[in-house]
Amino acid sequence: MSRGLLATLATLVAAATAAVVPAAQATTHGRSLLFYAKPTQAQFINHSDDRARGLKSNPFNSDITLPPPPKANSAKKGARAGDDALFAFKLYSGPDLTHLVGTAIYNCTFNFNQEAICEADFELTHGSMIAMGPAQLGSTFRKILLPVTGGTGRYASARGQVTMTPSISKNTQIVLFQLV
Amino acid sequence: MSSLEGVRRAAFIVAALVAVAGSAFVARAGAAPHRALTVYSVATGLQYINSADDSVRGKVNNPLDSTQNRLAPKHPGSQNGPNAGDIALYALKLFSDPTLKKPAGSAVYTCYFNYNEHALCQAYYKLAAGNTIVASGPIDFKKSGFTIVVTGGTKRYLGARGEAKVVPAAHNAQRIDFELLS
Amino acid sequence: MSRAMSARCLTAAVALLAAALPVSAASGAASASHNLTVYAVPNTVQFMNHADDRLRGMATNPFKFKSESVILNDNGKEKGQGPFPGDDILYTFKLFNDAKLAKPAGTALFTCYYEFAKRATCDSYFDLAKGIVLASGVVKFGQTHFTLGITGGTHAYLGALGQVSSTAAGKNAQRFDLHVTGTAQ
Repeated sequence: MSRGLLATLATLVAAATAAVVPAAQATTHGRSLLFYAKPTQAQFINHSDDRARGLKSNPFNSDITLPPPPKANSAKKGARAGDDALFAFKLYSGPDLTHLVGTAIYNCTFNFNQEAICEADFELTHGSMIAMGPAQLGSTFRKILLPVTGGTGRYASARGQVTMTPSISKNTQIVLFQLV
Repeated sequence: MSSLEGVRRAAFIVAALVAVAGSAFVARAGAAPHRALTVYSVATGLQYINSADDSVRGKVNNPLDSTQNRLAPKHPGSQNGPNAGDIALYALKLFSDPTLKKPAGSAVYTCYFNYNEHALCQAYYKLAAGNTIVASGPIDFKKSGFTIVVTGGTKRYLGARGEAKVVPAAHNAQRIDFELLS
Repeated sequence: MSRAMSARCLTAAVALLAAALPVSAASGAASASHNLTVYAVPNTVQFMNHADDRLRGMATNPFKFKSESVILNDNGKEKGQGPFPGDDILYTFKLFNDAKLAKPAGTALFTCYYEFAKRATCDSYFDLAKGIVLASGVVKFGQTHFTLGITGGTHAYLGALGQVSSTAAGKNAQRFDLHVTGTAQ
């Protein structure tokens, strides 16, 4: 076989391989990020007057046609539909909570049966991430699992899920991102 | 077959594979993994949060500068709403069939009203086995159907993107067609 | 090189390409990206003051944590300048394709829910000619330079991801640079 033909074929193979092997993916794809969160502030916004007003003055005649679900507002002392709970955290890279890497805020609006929809924003060194989803915020809080819906900077186009669970250390949460 | 013929044949195969690989790559660039899911929803409860007092208070007690305060909406809104700042929370049951006999989960819509009976709604759909889809988007309450954006999910719907199209269905239900790109 | 060696090299080349073919097919869709710049002029601004709900929330809440205190002046108003946690502001914008604000491009709406230190989570949508783009993120009150994450879209922006950057643009206008990736079209 001539060397020229061999060289040509080698070039073809190299070019084809370069064309079909995918370029390096963005760094957020298919990886996990782990942080430790310490709560710093919390606020509860009680909309009982707005709720009472809304039962009578609303555009849907809902007091007649579609009342709140039975036992929907049976939670004691608040956490009723429309109430808001805000939680702010500092984020650290390790369980010793010495290396600060960012902050997080969970903004939760209650709906029914002590469930809320939470929107969480994570401000990190090289960008931010956003997550949104349902959370059970009863008195025995265990875990909040939210879908990651986007981000900025290094985390632009981030997708996946973020879990917040209590750690064995007092007053500390573990925040685990699983990005696709 | 002589070695030379074998070499030529292999060379032809290489060239053909290059062409096919290139086509597959180009074709793949235009295609996307696609999933569809249809469920039927029935509203089981509604809570309306009438923020009239907060709106009135906000007109006189706010941190906005004079330029921004001049941009306050001119129309005071209606007594019953929906007015800007009001919230409607809907609880729904989900079914996998139009006869509403096979439960498929539950959903909640949290809708924050702005103007002209529009709201920015956030929704979550809790399906079987802990699978969840979340969506959000603007909804015009003057229309009977709407399309909102699927922004994420968990488990089977981890990283989901796409849209949810909602139209009226029989038995006072709504049909939700999810078109998922991933 | 002997013919036998040449034949082996070629066999290896064929095998390599045959392996690369499914990799290319499985590498996932290359997706479209759009860069779009619009100029926004505020059309309406509305502030919702939840002082009473905040005060009520101090006393009546389901959690055992020590909620933030609401500090009141002698006249019963909250001390300091808001926005305070729980307040929200709705902004509507008219959008234009050009800095001269002559070519309409659609509308945008921002709903910003305030948390602590005058920072808000803002949920927005841009209603453009080719579809809607949703974006969310944190914005500090009064800040004109911020970045939101794009969380999705409709029509031409179906499956959209990316980010929106905002900067001040001349008299009372904002420039939004939308870097949209991951769309189906």
